[in-house]
Amino acid sequence: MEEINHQNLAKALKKLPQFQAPEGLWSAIELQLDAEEPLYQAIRQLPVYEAPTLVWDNISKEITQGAPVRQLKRWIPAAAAAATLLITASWVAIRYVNQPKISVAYSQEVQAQSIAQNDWDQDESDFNEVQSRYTQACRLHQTLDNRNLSQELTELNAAKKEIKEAIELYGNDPELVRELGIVEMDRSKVARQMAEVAL
Amino acid sequence: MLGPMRIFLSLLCCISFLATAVAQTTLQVVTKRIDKDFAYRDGYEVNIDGDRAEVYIESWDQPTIRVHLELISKNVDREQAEQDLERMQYGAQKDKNKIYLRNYLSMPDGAPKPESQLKAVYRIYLPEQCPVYLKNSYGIANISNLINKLRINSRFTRIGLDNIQGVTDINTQFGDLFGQNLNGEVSVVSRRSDVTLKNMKGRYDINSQYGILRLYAANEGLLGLDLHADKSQVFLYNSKLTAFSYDLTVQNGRLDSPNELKFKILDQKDPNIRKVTFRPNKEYYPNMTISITFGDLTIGK
Repeated sequence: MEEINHQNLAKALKKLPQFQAPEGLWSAIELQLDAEEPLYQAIRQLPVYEAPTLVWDNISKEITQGAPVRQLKRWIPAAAAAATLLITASWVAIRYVNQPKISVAYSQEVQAQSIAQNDWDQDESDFNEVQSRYTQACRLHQTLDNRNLSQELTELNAAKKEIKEAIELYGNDPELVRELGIVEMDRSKVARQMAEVAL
Repeated sequence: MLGPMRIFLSLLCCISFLATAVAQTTLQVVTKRIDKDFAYRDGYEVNIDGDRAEVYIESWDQPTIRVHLELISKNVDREQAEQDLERMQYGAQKDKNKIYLRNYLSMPDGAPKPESQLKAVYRIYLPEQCPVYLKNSYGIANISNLINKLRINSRFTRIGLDNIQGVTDINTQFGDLFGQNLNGEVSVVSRRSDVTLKNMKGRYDINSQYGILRLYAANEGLLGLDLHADKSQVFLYNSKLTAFSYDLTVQNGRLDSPNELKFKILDQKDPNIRKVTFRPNKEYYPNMTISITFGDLTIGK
Protein backbone atom coordinates (compact mmCIF):
# COMPACT_ATOMS: atom_id res chain seq x y z
CA MET A 1 0.00 0.00 0.00
CA GLU A 2 1.40 3.39 -1.05
CA GLU A 3 1.62 6.21 1.46
CA ILE A 4 -0.31 9.22 0.13
CA ASN A 5 1.21 11.94 2.32
CA HIS A 6 4.67 10.56 2.55
CA GLN A 7 6.26 13.95 3.14
CA ASN A 8 3.99 14.75 6.04
CA LEU A 9 4.75 11.43 7.62
CA ALA A 10 8.49 11.95 7.23
CA LYS A 11 8.18 15.42 8.81
CA ALA A 12 6.17 14.09 11.74
CA LEU A 13 8.62 11.28 12.35
CA LYS A 14 11.48 13.76 12.38
CA LYS A 15 9.64 15.84 15.01
CA LEU A 16 9.31 12.90 17.39
CA PRO A 17 11.58 13.19 20.48
CA GLN A 18 14.61 10.94 20.63
CA PHE A 19 15.81 9.06 23.74
CA GLN A 20 19.00 7.25 24.49
CA ALA A 21 19.77 4.65 27.15
CA PRO A 22 21.60 6.07 30.20
CA GLU A 23 25.34 5.94 30.11
CA GLY A 24 26.81 2.70 31.42
CA LEU A 25 23.67 0.61 30.86
CA TRP A 26 25.03 -1.35 27.95
CA SER A 27 28.38 -1.94 29.64
CA ALA A 28 26.51 -3.19 32.77
CA ILE A 29 24.52 -5.68 30.67
CA GLU A 30 27.71 -6.80 29.02
CA LEU A 31 29.40 -7.33 32.40
CA GLN A 32 26.46 -9.37 33.62
CA LEU A 33 26.48 -11.57 30.54
CA ASP A 34 30.23 -12.07 30.92
CA ALA A 35 29.71 -13.12 34.51
CA GLU A 36 27.06 -15.69 33.54
CA GLU A 37 29.14 -17.11 30.70
CA PRO A 38 30.83 -19.82 32.88
CA LEU A 39 27.35 -21.08 33.80
CA TYR A 40 26.30 -21.44 30.17
CA GLN A 41 29.60 -23.17 29.44
CA ALA A 42 28.96 -25.63 32.28
CA ILE A 43 25.44 -26.34 30.99
CA ARG A 44 26.80 -27.05 27.53
CA GLN A 45 29.26 -29.52 29.02
CA LEU A 46 26.57 -31.50 30.89
CA PRO A 47 26.13 -35.07 29.61
CA VAL A 48 22.90 -35.91 27.76
CA TYR A 49 21.00 -39.15 28.46
CA GLU A 50 18.14 -40.70 26.56
CA ALA A 51 15.30 -42.41 28.48
CA PRO A 52 14.92 -46.12 27.70
CA THR A 53 12.14 -46.85 25.18
CA LEU A 54 10.27 -48.94 27.77
CA VAL A 55 9.67 -45.84 29.90
CA TRP A 56 8.00 -43.96 27.04
CA ASP A 57 5.94 -47.03 26.18
CA ASN A 58 4.67 -47.29 29.77
CA ILE A 59 3.80 -43.60 29.92
CA SER A 60 1.91 -43.88 26.64
CA LYS A 61 -0.05 -46.89 27.96
CA GLU A 62 -1.04 -45.01 31.15
CA ILE A 63 -2.19 -41.99 29.17
CA THR A 64 -4.34 -44.13 26.86
CA GLN A 65 -5.89 -46.16 29.77
CA GLY A 66 -6.59 -43.14 32.05
CA ALA A 67 -9.57 -44.82 33.78
CA PRO A 68 -8.28 -45.08 37.40
CA VAL A 69 -7.51 -41.38 37.50
CA ARG A 70 -11.03 -40.47 36.48
CA GLN A 71 -12.49 -42.84 39.13
CA LEU A 72 -10.42 -41.21 41.84
CA LYS A 73 -11.58 -37.77 40.78
CA ARG A 74 -15.22 -38.83 41.17
CA TRP A 75 -14.53 -40.05 44.73
CA ILE A 76 -12.90 -36.88 45.97
CA PRO A 77 -15.91 -34.50 45.87
CA ALA A 78 -18.20 -37.19 47.31
CA ALA A 79 -15.80 -37.86 50.22
CA ALA A 80 -15.31 -34.14 50.84
CA ALA A 81 -19.09 -33.58 50.88
CA ALA A 82 -19.61 -36.47 53.30
CA ALA A 83 -16.83 -35.22 55.60
CA THR A 84 -18.21 -31.67 55.58
CA LEU A 85 -21.68 -32.99 56.35
CA LEU A 86 -20.34 -35.13 59.19
CA ILE A 87 -18.30 -32.28 60.71
CA THR A 88 -21.24 -29.88 60.47
CA ALA A 89 -23.61 -32.43 62.03
CA SER A 90 -21.13 -33.12 64.85
CA TRP A 91 -20.64 -29.40 65.47
CA VAL A 92 -24.39 -28.81 65.56
CA ALA A 93 -24.84 -31.83 67.87
CA ILE A 94 -22.07 -30.64 70.22
CA ARG A 95 -23.49 -27.12 70.24
CA TYR A 96 -26.94 -28.48 70.97
CA VAL A 97 -25.70 -30.81 73.71
CA ASN A 98 -23.60 -28.04 75.31
CA GLN A 99 -26.46 -25.60 75.41
CA PRO A 100 -27.84 -25.32 78.94
CA LYS A 101 -31.45 -26.23 79.49
CA ILE A 102 -33.23 -23.21 80.87
CA SER A 103 -36.67 -23.21 82.48
CA VAL A 104 -38.66 -20.75 84.58
CA ALA A 105 -40.96 -21.74 87.44
CA TYR A 106 -43.42 -19.75 89.54
CA SER A 107 -44.45 -20.34 93.13
CA GLN A 108 -45.49 -18.51 96.29
CA GLU A 109 -43.91 -18.18 99.69
CA VAL A 110 -45.19 -16.79 102.95
CA GLN A 111 -42.81 -14.60 104.89
CA ALA A 112 -43.14 -12.88 108.24
CA GLN A 113 -43.60 -9.15 107.83
CA SER A 114 -41.38 -8.33 110.81
CA ILE A 115 -38.30 -8.86 108.65
CA ALA A 116 -39.08 -5.66 106.82
CA GLN A 117 -38.54 -3.56 109.97
CA ASN A 118 -35.15 -1.99 109.38
CA ASP A 119 -34.37 -0.84 112.91
CA TRP A 120 -30.62 -1.43 112.83
CA ASP A 121 -29.64 2.23 112.61
CA GLN A 122 -31.59 3.34 115.70
CA ASP A 123 -28.60 3.39 118.06
CA GLU A 124 -26.02 4.99 115.78
CA SER A 125 -25.93 8.20 117.82
CA ASP A 126 -25.06 6.14 120.95
CA PHE A 127 -22.30 4.32 119.08
CA ASN A 128 -20.88 7.64 117.88
CA GLU A 129 -20.98 9.09 121.39
CA VAL A 130 -19.21 6.08 122.94
CA GLN A 131 -16.55 6.09 120.25
CA SER A 132 -15.86 9.81 120.60
CA ARG A 133 -15.62 9.55 124.41
CA TYR A 134 -13.33 6.55 124.08
CA THR A 135 -11.09 8.35 121.58
CA GLN A 136 -10.94 11.30 123.95
CA ALA A 137 -10.01 9.04 126.87
CA CYS A 138 -7.31 7.33 124.80
CA ARG A 139 -5.87 10.73 123.93
CA LEU A 140 -5.50 11.45 127.63
CA HIS A 141 -4.14 7.99 128.52
CA GLN A 142 -2.21 6.78 125.53
CA THR A 143 -1.96 3.16 126.65
CA LEU A 144 -5.71 2.62 126.92
CA ASP A 145 -6.32 1.42 123.37
CA ASN A 146 -4.03 -1.60 123.64
CA ARG A 147 -6.75 -3.83 122.21
CA ASN A 148 -7.31 -1.57 119.22
CA LEU A 149 -11.00 -1.19 119.97
CA SER A 150 -11.25 1.86 117.69
CA GLN A 151 -9.83 -0.11 114.81
CA GLU A 152 -12.15 -3.00 115.62
CA LEU A 153 -15.21 -0.77 115.63
CA THR A 154 -14.12 0.82 112.35
CA GLU A 155 -13.83 -2.63 110.78
CA LEU A 156 -17.24 -3.63 112.10
CA ASN A 157 -18.78 -0.37 110.88
CA ALA A 158 -17.40 -1.14 107.43
CA ALA A 159 -18.84 -4.66 107.62
CA LYS A 160 -22.25 -3.30 108.61
CA LYS A 161 -22.15 -0.84 105.73
CA GLU A 162 -21.25 -3.68 103.37
CA ILE A 163 -24.17 -5.84 104.50
CA LYS A 164 -26.58 -2.91 104.32
CA GLU A 165 -25.49 -2.41 100.71
CA ALA A 166 -26.04 -6.10 100.04
CA ILE A 167 -29.52 -5.83 101.56
CA GLU A 168 -30.26 -2.89 99.27
CA LEU A 169 -29.20 -4.92 96.24
CA TYR A 170 -30.41 -8.40 97.11
CA GLY A 171 -33.35 -7.54 99.37
CA ASN A 172 -33.71 -7.88 103.13
CA ASP A 173 -34.19 -11.62 103.25
CA PRO A 174 -33.79 -13.45 106.58
CA GLU A 175 -30.24 -14.70 105.95
CA LEU A 176 -28.80 -11.25 105.27
CA VAL A 177 -30.66 -9.82 108.26
CA ARG A 178 -29.15 -12.61 110.38
CA GLU A 179 -25.63 -11.68 109.16
CA LEU A 180 -26.33 -8.07 110.04
CA GLY A 181 -27.50 -9.20 113.49
CA ILE A 182 -24.17 -10.99 114.11
CA VAL A 183 -22.18 -7.89 113.16
CA GLU A 184 -24.45 -5.75 115.35
CA MET A 185 -23.81 -8.07 118.33
CA ASP A 186 -20.06 -7.71 117.79
CA ARG A 187 -20.39 -3.94 117.49
CA SER A 188 -22.39 -3.81 120.70
CA LYS A 189 -19.74 -5.85 122.49
CA VAL A 190 -16.99 -3.49 121.35
CA ALA A 191 -19.10 -0.48 122.33
CA ARG A 192 -19.59 -1.94 125.82
CA GLN A 193 -15.84 -2.52 126.15
CA MET A 194 -15.22 1.07 125.05
CA ALA A 195 -17.78 2.32 127.55
CA GLU A 196 -16.10 0.41 130.40
CA VAL A 197 -12.87 2.24 129.66
CA ALA A 198 -14.14 5.67 128.78
CA LEU A 199 -17.19 6.49 130.84
CA MET B 1 -67.51 -2.32 136.34
CA LEU B 2 -63.71 -2.23 136.58
CA GLY B 3 -63.49 -6.01 136.11
CA PRO B 4 -65.17 -6.34 132.69
CA MET B 5 -63.31 -3.28 131.46
CA ARG B 6 -60.00 -4.86 132.46
CA ILE B 7 -60.95 -8.07 130.67
CA PHE B 8 -61.97 -6.12 127.56
CA LEU B 9 -58.70 -4.18 127.53
CA SER B 10 -56.69 -7.37 128.07
CA LEU B 11 -58.51 -9.05 125.19
CA LEU B 12 -57.89 -6.03 122.98
CA CYS B 13 -54.18 -6.15 123.83
CA CYS B 14 -54.07 -9.88 123.12
CA ILE B 15 -55.80 -9.48 119.78
CA SER B 16 -53.53 -6.65 118.68
CA PHE B 17 -50.46 -8.63 119.82
CA LEU B 18 -51.59 -11.70 117.91
CA ALA B 19 -52.37 -9.60 114.87
CA THR B 20 -48.82 -8.23 114.93
CA ALA B 21 -47.29 -11.63 115.59
CA VAL B 22 -49.02 -13.38 112.68
CA ALA B 23 -48.66 -10.53 110.16
CA GLN B 24 -47.35 -12.21 107.07
CA THR B 25 -46.71 -11.40 103.46
CA THR B 26 -47.17 -13.65 100.47
CA LEU B 27 -44.20 -13.42 98.13
CA GLN B 28 -44.26 -14.35 94.46
CA VAL B 29 -41.24 -16.51 93.74
CA VAL B 30 -39.80 -16.66 90.22
CA THR B 31 -37.07 -19.23 89.66
CA LYS B 32 -34.93 -19.51 86.55
CA ARG B 33 -33.26 -22.89 86.43
CA ILE B 34 -30.20 -23.61 84.30
CA ASP B 35 -29.00 -27.21 83.86
CA LYS B 36 -25.70 -27.94 82.18
CA ASP B 37 -23.32 -30.91 81.95
CA PHE B 38 -19.59 -30.85 81.23
CA ALA B 39 -17.65 -34.00 80.33
CA TYR B 40 -14.89 -34.44 82.92
CA ARG B 41 -11.27 -35.20 82.15
CA ASP B 42 -8.29 -35.53 84.50
CA GLY B 43 -6.82 -32.10 85.23
CA TYR B 44 -10.09 -30.21 85.00
CA GLU B 45 -11.00 -27.78 87.81
CA VAL B 46 -14.34 -26.27 88.76
CA ASN B 47 -14.08 -22.58 89.51
CA ILE B 48 -17.12 -20.91 91.09
CA ASP B 49 -17.51 -17.19 91.62
CA GLY B 50 -20.74 -16.74 93.54
CA ASP B 51 -22.39 -13.61 94.85
CA ARG B 52 -25.28 -14.01 97.30
CA ALA B 53 -25.10 -17.69 96.44
CA GLU B 54 -25.83 -20.97 98.14
CA VAL B 55 -23.42 -23.56 96.83
CA TYR B 56 -23.91 -27.28 97.37
CA ILE B 57 -21.22 -29.59 95.99
CA GLU B 58 -20.96 -33.34 96.29
CA SER B 59 -19.15 -36.06 94.40
CA TRP B 60 -20.60 -38.89 92.37
CA ASP B 61 -19.24 -41.80 90.35
CA GLN B 62 -19.86 -40.43 86.86
CA PRO B 63 -17.27 -38.73 84.63
CA THR B 64 -19.45 -35.66 84.33
CA ILE B 65 -19.69 -32.31 86.05
CA ARG B 66 -23.39 -31.58 86.39
CA VAL B 67 -24.53 -28.08 87.28
CA HIS B 68 -28.02 -27.08 88.39
CA LEU B 69 -28.14 -23.35 88.91
CA GLU B 70 -31.24 -21.59 90.19
CA LEU B 71 -31.60 -17.83 90.09
CA ILE B 72 -34.39 -16.86 92.47
CA SER B 73 -36.31 -13.63 92.75
CA LYS B 74 -39.00 -12.96 95.40
CA ASN B 75 -41.35 -10.03 95.57
CA VAL B 76 -44.97 -9.36 96.48
CA ASP B 77 -45.39 -8.25 92.85
CA ARG B 78 -44.67 -10.98 90.30
CA GLU B 79 -43.83 -8.55 87.49
CA GLN B 80 -41.28 -6.81 89.66
CA ALA B 81 -39.83 -10.19 90.63
CA GLU B 82 -39.52 -11.14 86.94
CA GLN B 83 -38.00 -7.79 86.06
CA ASP B 84 -35.39 -8.05 88.83
CA LEU B 85 -34.60 -11.65 87.91
CA GLU B 86 -33.38 -10.38 84.54
CA ARG B 87 -30.68 -8.47 86.43
CA MET B 88 -29.27 -11.71 87.80
CA GLN B 89 -26.68 -12.78 85.23
CA TYR B 90 -24.80 -16.04 85.12
CA GLY B 91 -21.96 -17.74 83.29
CA ALA B 92 -21.31 -21.46 82.83
CA GLN B 93 -18.54 -22.25 80.40
CA LYS B 94 -15.36 -24.24 79.89
CA ASP B 95 -12.09 -22.54 79.06
CA LYS B 96 -9.13 -24.90 78.56
CA ASN B 97 -9.16 -27.14 81.63
CA LYS B 98 -11.35 -24.92 83.84
CA ILE B 99 -15.10 -24.95 84.20
CA TYR B 100 -16.12 -21.43 85.15
CA LEU B 101 -19.43 -20.91 86.93
CA ARG B 102 -20.48 -17.49 88.11
CA ASN B 103 -23.43 -15.29 88.92
CA TYR B 104 -23.55 -11.56 89.38
CA LEU B 105 -25.95 -8.66 89.53
CA SER B 106 -26.06 -6.48 86.44
CA MET B 107 -26.10 -2.80 87.44
CA PRO B 108 -26.33 -0.62 84.30
CA ASP B 109 -25.68 3.10 84.80
CA GLY B 110 -28.78 4.92 85.97
CA ALA B 111 -30.85 1.75 86.47
CA PRO B 112 -32.78 1.61 89.76
CA LYS B 113 -31.73 -0.89 92.39
CA PRO B 114 -33.64 -4.18 92.38
CA GLU B 115 -36.59 -4.33 94.75
CA SER B 116 -36.83 -8.11 95.08
CA GLN B 117 -35.03 -10.63 97.27
CA LEU B 118 -32.47 -12.20 94.96
CA LYS B 119 -30.18 -15.16 95.33
CA ALA B 120 -28.47 -17.94 93.38
CA VAL B 121 -28.42 -21.62 94.32
CA TYR B 122 -25.82 -23.95 92.79
CA ARG B 123 -26.12 -27.73 93.06
CA ILE B 124 -23.03 -29.34 91.57
CA TYR B 125 -22.19 -33.02 91.17
CA LEU B 126 -18.67 -33.93 90.12
CA PRO B 127 -16.06 -36.71 90.29
CA GLU B 128 -14.37 -36.84 93.71
CA GLN B 129 -10.90 -36.11 92.25
CA CYS B 130 -12.04 -32.89 90.59
CA PRO B 131 -10.40 -29.85 92.25
CA VAL B 132 -12.74 -27.06 93.32
CA TYR B 133 -12.15 -23.35 93.86
CA LEU B 134 -15.02 -21.41 95.38
CA LYS B 135 -15.32 -17.68 95.95
CA ASN B 136 -18.53 -16.48 97.52
CA SER B 137 -20.17 -13.67 99.45
CA TYR B 138 -23.36 -13.57 101.52
CA GLY B 139 -24.34 -17.17 101.27
CA ILE B 140 -23.78 -20.78 102.13
CA ALA B 141 -21.27 -23.41 100.99
CA ASN B 142 -21.85 -27.09 101.73
CA ILE B 143 -19.28 -29.42 100.24
CA SER B 144 -18.75 -33.14 100.76
CA ASN B 145 -16.76 -36.18 99.61
CA LEU B 146 -13.83 -34.73 97.68
CA ILE B 147 -10.31 -36.20 97.64
CA ASN B 148 -8.04 -33.85 95.72
CA LYS B 149 -7.98 -30.10 96.23
CA LEU B 150 -10.48 -27.66 97.66
CA ARG B 151 -9.97 -23.93 98.03
CA ILE B 152 -12.54 -21.52 99.46
CA ASN B 153 -12.34 -17.78 99.73
CA SER B 154 -15.49 -16.33 101.26
CA ARG B 155 -17.06 -13.46 103.15
CA PHE B 156 -20.28 -13.64 105.14
CA THR B 157 -20.70 -17.25 104.10
CA ARG B 158 -21.45 -20.24 106.31
CA ILE B 159 -19.21 -23.11 105.26
CA GLY B 160 -19.98 -26.77 105.93
CA LEU B 161 -17.45 -29.44 104.92
CA ASP B 162 -17.75 -33.20 105.29
CA ASN B 163 -15.30 -35.94 104.32
CA ILE B 164 -12.74 -33.85 102.45
CA GLN B 165 -9.29 -35.28 101.75
CA GLY B 166 -6.19 -33.91 100.06
CA VAL B 167 -5.33 -30.24 100.17
CA THR B 168 -7.95 -28.00 101.76
CA ASP B 169 -7.40 -24.27 101.90
CA ILE B 170 -10.06 -22.10 103.54
CA ASN B 171 -10.07 -18.34 103.92
CA THR B 172 -13.21 -17.02 105.62
CA GLN B 173 -14.25 -13.64 106.94
CA PHE B 174 -17.47 -13.08 108.85
CA GLY B 175 -18.60 -16.61 108.13
CA ASP B 176 -18.58 -19.68 110.33
CA LEU B 177 -16.80 -22.84 109.31
CA PHE B 178 -18.00 -26.28 110.34
CA GLY B 179 -15.91 -29.22 109.14
CA GLN B 180 -15.92 -32.89 109.96
CA ASN B 181 -13.82 -35.79 108.72
CA LEU B 182 -11.21 -33.57 107.07
CA ASN B 183 -7.99 -35.41 106.34
CA GLY B 184 -4.87 -34.15 104.58
CA GLU B 185 -3.16 -30.78 104.47
CA VAL B 186 -5.70 -28.38 105.93
CA SER B 187 -5.12 -24.65 106.08
CA VAL B 188 -7.64 -22.27 107.65
CA VAL B 189 -7.39 -18.50 107.82
CA SER B 190 -10.40 -17.05 109.57
CA ARG B 191 -11.39 -13.60 110.74
CA ARG B 192 -14.52 -12.91 112.76
CA SER B 193 -15.60 -16.47 112.12
CA ASP B 194 -16.31 -19.32 114.49
CA VAL B 195 -14.57 -22.54 113.51
CA THR B 196 -15.65 -26.03 114.53
CA LEU B 197 -13.65 -29.02 113.29
CA LYS B 198 -14.57 -32.57 114.26
CA ASN B 199 -12.65 -35.82 113.82
CA MET B 200 -9.55 -33.94 112.66
CA LYS B 201 -7.04 -36.07 110.78
CA GLY B 202 -3.95 -35.03 108.87
CA ARG B 203 -1.99 -31.82 109.32
CA TYR B 204 -3.62 -28.51 110.23
CA ASP B 205 -2.42 -24.95 109.98
CA ILE B 206 -4.93 -22.51 111.48
CA ASN B 207 -4.75 -18.77 111.80
CA SER B 208 -7.71 -17.11 113.48
CA GLN B 209 -8.76 -13.69 114.68
CA TYR B 210 -11.92 -12.81 116.57
CA GLY B 211 -13.54 -16.20 116.68
CA ILE B 212 -14.41 -19.18 118.81
CA LEU B 213 -12.54 -22.33 117.78
CA ARG B 214 -13.77 -25.75 118.80
CA LEU B 215 -11.31 -28.41 117.68
CA TYR B 216 -11.95 -32.14 118.14
CA ALA B 217 -8.85 -34.16 117.29
CA ALA B 218 -9.32 -37.74 116.06
CA ASN B 219 -7.82 -40.38 118.35
CA GLU B 220 -5.79 -41.71 115.45
CA GLY B 221 -4.64 -39.87 112.37
CA LEU B 222 -3.96 -36.31 113.52
CA LEU B 223 -0.41 -35.64 112.36
CA GLY B 224 0.02 -32.11 113.66
CA LEU B 225 -1.65 -28.85 114.55
CA ASP B 226 -0.13 -25.41 114.21
CA LEU B 227 -2.55 -22.80 115.54
CA HIS B 228 -2.18 -19.05 115.91
CA ALA B 229 -5.18 -17.25 117.37
CA ASP B 230 -5.65 -13.61 118.25
CA LYS B 231 -8.53 -12.30 120.37
CA SER B 232 -10.11 -15.72 120.08
CA GLN B 233 -11.28 -18.48 122.37
CA VAL B 234 -9.87 -21.92 121.64
CA PHE B 235 -11.27 -25.24 122.88
CA LEU B 236 -9.27 -28.36 122.07
CA TYR B 237 -10.75 -31.77 122.78
CA ASN B 238 -9.40 -35.31 122.57
CA SER B 239 -9.88 -38.45 124.66
CA LYS B 240 -6.17 -39.38 124.49
CA LEU B 241 -4.64 -36.05 125.42
CA THR B 242 -1.31 -37.48 126.57
CA ALA B 243 -0.67 -39.03 123.15
CA PHE B 244 0.26 -35.60 121.80
CA SER B 245 3.15 -33.27 122.36
CA TYR B 246 2.32 -29.64 123.19
CA ASP B 247 4.05 -26.30 122.80
CA LEU B 248 1.66 -23.69 124.12
CA THR B 249 1.89 -19.93 124.47
CA VAL B 250 -0.96 -17.96 125.98
CA GLN B 251 -0.63 -14.20 126.20
CA ASN B 252 -3.17 -12.12 128.13
CA GLY B 253 -5.43 -15.10 128.54
CA ARG B 254 -6.10 -18.24 130.57
CA LEU B 255 -4.94 -21.79 130.03
CA ASP B 256 -7.23 -24.50 131.37
CA SER B 257 -6.19 -28.12 131.03
CA PRO B 258 -6.80 -31.44 132.86
CA ASN B 259 -4.34 -32.51 135.56
CA GLU B 260 -3.08 -35.47 133.56
CA LEU B 261 -1.20 -33.06 131.29
CA LYS B 262 1.82 -32.23 133.47
CA PHE B 263 3.13 -29.16 131.65
CA LYS B 264 6.66 -27.96 131.99
CA ILE B 265 6.66 -24.18 132.41
CA LEU B 266 9.18 -22.60 130.06
CA ASP B 267 8.98 -18.92 130.74
CA GLN B 268 7.24 -17.02 133.50
CA LYS B 269 9.14 -13.72 133.46
CA ASP B 270 6.20 -11.80 132.08
CA PRO B 271 3.05 -12.64 134.10
CA ASN B 272 0.93 -11.95 131.03
CA ILE B 273 2.68 -14.60 128.94
CA ARG B 274 2.52 -18.29 129.75
CA LYS B 275 4.68 -20.75 127.86
CA VAL B 276 4.41 -24.44 128.61
CA THR B 277 5.41 -27.70 127.00
CA PHE B 278 4.59 -31.40 127.25
CA ARG B 279 6.15 -34.49 125.67
CA PRO B 280 4.55 -37.96 125.77
CA ASN B 281 6.54 -41.03 126.81
CA LYS B 282 6.98 -42.52 123.37
CA GLU B 283 9.19 -42.15 120.36
CA TYR B 284 6.75 -40.78 117.77
CA TYR B 285 3.94 -38.37 118.51
CA PRO B 286 1.96 -35.66 116.77
CA ASN B 287 2.77 -32.11 117.78
CA MET B 288 0.34 -29.38 118.81
CA THR B 289 1.80 -25.89 118.61
CA ILE B 290 -0.70 -23.32 119.84
CA SER B 291 -0.18 -19.63 120.34
CA ILE B 292 -2.96 -17.34 121.58
CA THR B 293 -3.02 -13.65 122.34
CA PHE B 294 -5.90 -11.95 124.15
CA GLY B 295 -7.84 -15.17 124.41
CA ASP B 296 -8.26 -18.33 126.46
CA LEU B 297 -7.19 -21.86 125.67
CA THR B 298 -9.17 -24.74 127.12
CA ILE B 299 -7.95 -28.30 126.66
CA GLY B 300 -10.30 -31.11 127.61
CA LYS B 301 -11.68 -34.51 126.80
